[in-house]
Amino acid sequence: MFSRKFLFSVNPLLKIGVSLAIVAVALSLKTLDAIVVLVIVLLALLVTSIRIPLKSAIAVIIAFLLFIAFGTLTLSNWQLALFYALRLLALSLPAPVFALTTSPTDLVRALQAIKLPSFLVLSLMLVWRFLPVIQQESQRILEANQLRGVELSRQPHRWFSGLFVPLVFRIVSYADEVTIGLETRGYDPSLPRTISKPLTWQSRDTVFTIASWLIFGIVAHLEF
Amino acid sequence: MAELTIENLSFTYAGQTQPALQDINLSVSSGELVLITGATGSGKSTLLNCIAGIAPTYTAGILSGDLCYQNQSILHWDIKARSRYLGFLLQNVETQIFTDRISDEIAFGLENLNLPPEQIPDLINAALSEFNLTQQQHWTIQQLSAGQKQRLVIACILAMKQPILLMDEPFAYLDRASASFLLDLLQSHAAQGQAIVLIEHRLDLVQSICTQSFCLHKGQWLTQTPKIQSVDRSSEVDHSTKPIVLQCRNLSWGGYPQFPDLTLRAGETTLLQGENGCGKTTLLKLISGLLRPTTGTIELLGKPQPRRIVEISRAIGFVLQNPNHQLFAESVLQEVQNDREILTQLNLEEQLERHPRSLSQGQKRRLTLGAVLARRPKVCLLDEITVGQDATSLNLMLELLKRFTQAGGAVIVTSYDPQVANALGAKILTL
Amino acid sequence: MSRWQLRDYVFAAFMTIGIAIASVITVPLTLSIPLPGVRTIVWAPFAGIFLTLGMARLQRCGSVALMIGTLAMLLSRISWIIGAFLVGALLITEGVLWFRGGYRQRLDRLIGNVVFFASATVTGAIVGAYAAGDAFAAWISQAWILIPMTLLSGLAGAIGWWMGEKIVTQLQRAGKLNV
Repeated sequence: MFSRKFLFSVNPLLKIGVSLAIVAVALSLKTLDAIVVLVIVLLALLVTSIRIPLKSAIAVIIAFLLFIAFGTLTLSNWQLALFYALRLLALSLPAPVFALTTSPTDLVRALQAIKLPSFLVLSLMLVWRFLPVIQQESQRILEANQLRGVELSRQPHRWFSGLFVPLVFRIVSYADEVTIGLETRGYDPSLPRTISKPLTWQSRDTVFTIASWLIFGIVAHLEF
Repeated sequence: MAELTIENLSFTYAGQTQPALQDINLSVSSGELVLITGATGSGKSTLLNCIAGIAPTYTAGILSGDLCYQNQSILHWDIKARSRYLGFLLQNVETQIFTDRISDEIAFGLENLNLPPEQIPDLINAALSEFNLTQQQHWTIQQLSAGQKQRLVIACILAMKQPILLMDEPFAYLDRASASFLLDLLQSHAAQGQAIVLIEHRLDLVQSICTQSFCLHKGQWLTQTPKIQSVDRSSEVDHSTKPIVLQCRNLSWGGYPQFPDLTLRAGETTLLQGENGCGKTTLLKLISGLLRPTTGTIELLGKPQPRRIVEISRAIGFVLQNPNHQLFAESVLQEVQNDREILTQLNLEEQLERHPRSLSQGQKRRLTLGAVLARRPKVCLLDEITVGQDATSLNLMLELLKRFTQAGGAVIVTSYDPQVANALGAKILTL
Repeated sequence: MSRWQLRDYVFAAFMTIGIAIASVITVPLTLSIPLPGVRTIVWAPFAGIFLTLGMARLQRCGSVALMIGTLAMLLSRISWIIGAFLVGALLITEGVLWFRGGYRQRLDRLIGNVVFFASATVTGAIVGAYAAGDAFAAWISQAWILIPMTLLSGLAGAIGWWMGEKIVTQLQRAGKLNV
């Protein structure tokens, strides 16, 4: 039904809206049939849009089975346990499906378009951009420790002086420099900025909306 | 008319009595390319920071004198207001990149100028083609090397078309080919009427194209520039009888072509030379154990290289490119394990009680060399010895390395700067 | 009270990065332990360093909201559940610290850390119970588990505060933390 690229190009705001709707619907469902349909649709979306590594798939299945086992044990009702396990899946799946099919840049643009306070958009943008940079920095610091003969994995008492202190210094000086970097490139959170690629409503968004309503309709029909 | 005029500019950092800049006068007209040189701590970066407005906003201190753009005082403008007329390339390019794709990054600055959206795609395309980045426009930032990032930020800044450009070491991460590309580009931008002020240590590159050059010394203009001392070659010793400390054979790693074999004897110095991305740092990482070779063998002091980095580190010290990853102690003296002699040799004896993180970049680099040598390694590896170093500071490091080799240590350095080989009396290995 | 400036937002974002890295390192270690709050207990000592630092530098009410709000938005991409309980904990923390007028004193920051991490365990248990349904709700909300885990989370937050203040002192010595 969907091509691999379809979900990637759906309007991010629409995807957020539908994800929230799914969470709300999942919390209000009471029958096993309805939740089964919802989970099947979500799984189908997940499998058709993203390649899932085998390891994480197996981990999720094991966790799912353990959850049912635990539920059966405490509730002594395997059907109810299955229901709660599926409901948990329905609650947890929308976020990763949304996240893995939306690039950070697209999301930032979408948030800008709905006039979210610019400092929040900025914070998200900075965290995405510099999280990998700071991770690399911590890697360099771990290496530098090995180079002076300190193996941090075997000497936890040196974590503080060997890793955290230098890392904090790096993060703090990055914060100062990045502020200057932003200003020298003319960024001001209080001034208007051009939106060079505005969000538009496209035919695939209409398709996505109609499909979502259809599925919610089917789920509701099964519920009542 | 002068684009930028500086009149009697002085700046004193908060808590200090000596001014970092004293009565600086400078006038830059459109089409000019002005080079500013000087030792670390001479006030070069402070001067650019004062022009851009970073000092005194972010670095506390007292500023006096005047600063004019087209004869209009901009002294009371903040950084953002000045950024409409001043493009500024910072030393660490990583901190001027905010999006995750090349074309988005160029758009970011233009969006900040609040230009009409229909103008932006053309400006992006022009910048991409000027910098030969058209094919890479959809690349993510993480795919770029340090040199490519530097090129991208320069492209982003030039796309904003400010009349004045300030650049802090724009050539720091560029190899010969990219450097000459940038030289041509700067010349053509100057010819089109931009006024360019740059700080650079690689004088050999820039001196040929600049229209004026100034040297700062203790916050004031100076007339002469210091040179790197070269070693008297007649005193060179024959090392061929000394024991071999390190031997690499048939080494290869990742996608790099096989590295040339390397034999290092006690007392010898080897300089690794080559263009950007040819694997100089990779070879140092292989030798220090941070990377494991795909093929080939490394022998250390006549035995196979131990598996654990911590064991290798007893014989090999490695001075990384960025000193900020390598400082751990709470005082300068602690950092070198209380070895006052090394501090004296590195001209850091006055700083011994200070927190290592409060030092200047050049002083930090010297301190990390001191800290590595204080552990008494047999071999010292040094990545990009000239980065962030002026001649005076570099000479102190070279001097200490010479003592180290005279005492039987062996050294491998990498550098873009061909003068270093001469100064160290080093064997050259080209990758 | 001075206005929030660009540098404050950037500083908060970088502290969020520190807190996020702390969670990336610690949380997977305990993912399989079905005890409420166990993830907070291993996370708090490290995340607390950055939370304390952010409080020490930003000082005003809303500092925790800025750091943790961004974190919640970020982690919502993994699961709405995480986002929801973080928002709950940040509201409680800001509410308590509002009476002390921000995070200026060391004591304010200690209280901030303890309250945040302890309430994260509680809100985490509540949101988790709500999402997982009856079977787990009964298990999670047993007082003999939840109360000691909450106390331990607060204690872990206090350890994070203590290390954070040690680093604040060093930053001040090096002249890198101008408040």
